[in-house]
Amino acid sequence: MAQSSPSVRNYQRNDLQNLIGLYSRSLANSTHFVRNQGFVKYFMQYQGVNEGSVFVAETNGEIIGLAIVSITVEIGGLKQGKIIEFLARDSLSMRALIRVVINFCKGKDVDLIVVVPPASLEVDDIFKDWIKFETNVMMTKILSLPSLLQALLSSEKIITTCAGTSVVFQIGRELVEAKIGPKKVDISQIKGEPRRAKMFMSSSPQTFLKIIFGQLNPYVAYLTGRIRIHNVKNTRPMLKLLCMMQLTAPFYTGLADRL
Amino acid sequence: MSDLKPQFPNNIVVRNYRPGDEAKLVDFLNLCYGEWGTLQKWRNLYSNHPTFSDNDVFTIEKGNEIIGHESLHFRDLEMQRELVLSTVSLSDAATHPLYRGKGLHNRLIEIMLEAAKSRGAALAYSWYLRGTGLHAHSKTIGFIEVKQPAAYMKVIRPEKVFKAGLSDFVQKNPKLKLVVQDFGDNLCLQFGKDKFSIQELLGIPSKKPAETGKRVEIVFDESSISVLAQFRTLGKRQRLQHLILMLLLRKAKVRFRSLGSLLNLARNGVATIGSI
Repeated sequence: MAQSSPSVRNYQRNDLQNLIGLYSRSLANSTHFVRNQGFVKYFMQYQGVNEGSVFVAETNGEIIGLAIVSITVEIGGLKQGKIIEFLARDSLSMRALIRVVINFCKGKDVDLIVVVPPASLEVDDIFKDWIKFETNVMMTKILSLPSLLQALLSSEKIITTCAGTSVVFQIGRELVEAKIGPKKVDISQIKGEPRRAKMFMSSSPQTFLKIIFGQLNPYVAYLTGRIRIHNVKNTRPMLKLLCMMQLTAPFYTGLADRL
Repeated sequence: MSDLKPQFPNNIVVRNYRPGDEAKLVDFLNLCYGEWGTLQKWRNLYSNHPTFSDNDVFTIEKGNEIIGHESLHFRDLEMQRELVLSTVSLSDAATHPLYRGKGLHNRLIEIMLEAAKSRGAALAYSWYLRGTGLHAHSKTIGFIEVKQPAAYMKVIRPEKVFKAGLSDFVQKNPKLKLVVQDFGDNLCLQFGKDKFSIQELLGIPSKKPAETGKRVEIVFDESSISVLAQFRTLGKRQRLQHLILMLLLRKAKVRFRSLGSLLNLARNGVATIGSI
């Protein structure tokens, strides 16, 4: 069945609830900074954004795309149109939104339009006459290992598969014991020598983060000596656990997150 | 609110934002960044932010003068299936030009990360320009790079994008600014049909008429905009590689009218390349 072409119109206040639904559907399979009503309202009051510069794509009364455009004048009088939030359910709605945003920006004498398209969609065809570029580099560092482990190990899959497992993580100088129960995970910091645990792994904070963010395969890290696994003959369960701890890729960061 | 007690020398203290600081902060950021923005921008980024608290903005002060700044933005990170992690982003790092290279900012970051941790953040994020000191320093204190989706730009007015990008690049690179100023009106740039001197670009009034014999012209082909538009976000080595490639592919041409202009180019050109 042929898809009906989406129509694009300006955002109205009563669209907010539907937008939250669109966010949860579109970003369900990616790691992202939380977008609740407070943040969506904040994006709409961003510098250079006004009621006329927020567009939604809809089809059969359902909102399937969003573009929040901020127009600002930068150094040297450059008028930039930044699509600070851009969501689309499919390529059709993305194409329709982009067409409207380009026309809107041209009408406002904008010199340059910048956007970060949703990572889950094929964009090469739609953005073929655009210039692909890297914005500032995103960097991350662990601040609290117990909180990080608590969140990572609390996934349904880990609790189901690894219930009853006790693991000690030595990340840098920090020692943390995680007891995975049938319903929850208990995390405790260890002072001094670790107690005998079923599994014990050690690595540098950077290596651990690279594994979590999917930049380093745990098996490769183990074989190259970047992580060490102690107290067990069979290292596979630990390596499997590390694989399950990896964040859902891709990590979506829109322009609003990077500004 | 108490001042955060330093391992800082003399009368230098670190403290959090107090209502009424806004104008001073904006002036300071404009001093450090060249053109950071307005009070409205500050309010948009800070006081209007859904998780803003006074304890998110940190300043280093000497006497009553702000000499350093950086701030935190708390954001929850949604991972898989409703798993949420408290995180913090660092932004707007700035040190007064007279106090750079003294390690003030490094110590400020330590204090900020400790404060963020005590407020429950599990991960810290930051966005840095590749190849800068901040980018390099962040790696030494345990940060790693995270892959994020690529951005796209559509250039509607290439001449304006070229001029504004170049002006921004030179203004934010004091070494390069000094070197290109040495050329005076004798360095001319041409992009498409648009021709202008570097003095004109930087908004510096001309002191003496250009000596035609010493004039150096750099002509960029319009197709070079795809490289030039992203010049600011490239590393130093990448910039030089792209410039060399543009010259080899004849997308950029250097013209000098006489031996005098060649010597002028040779004298200032090496210094220019060094500070790109």
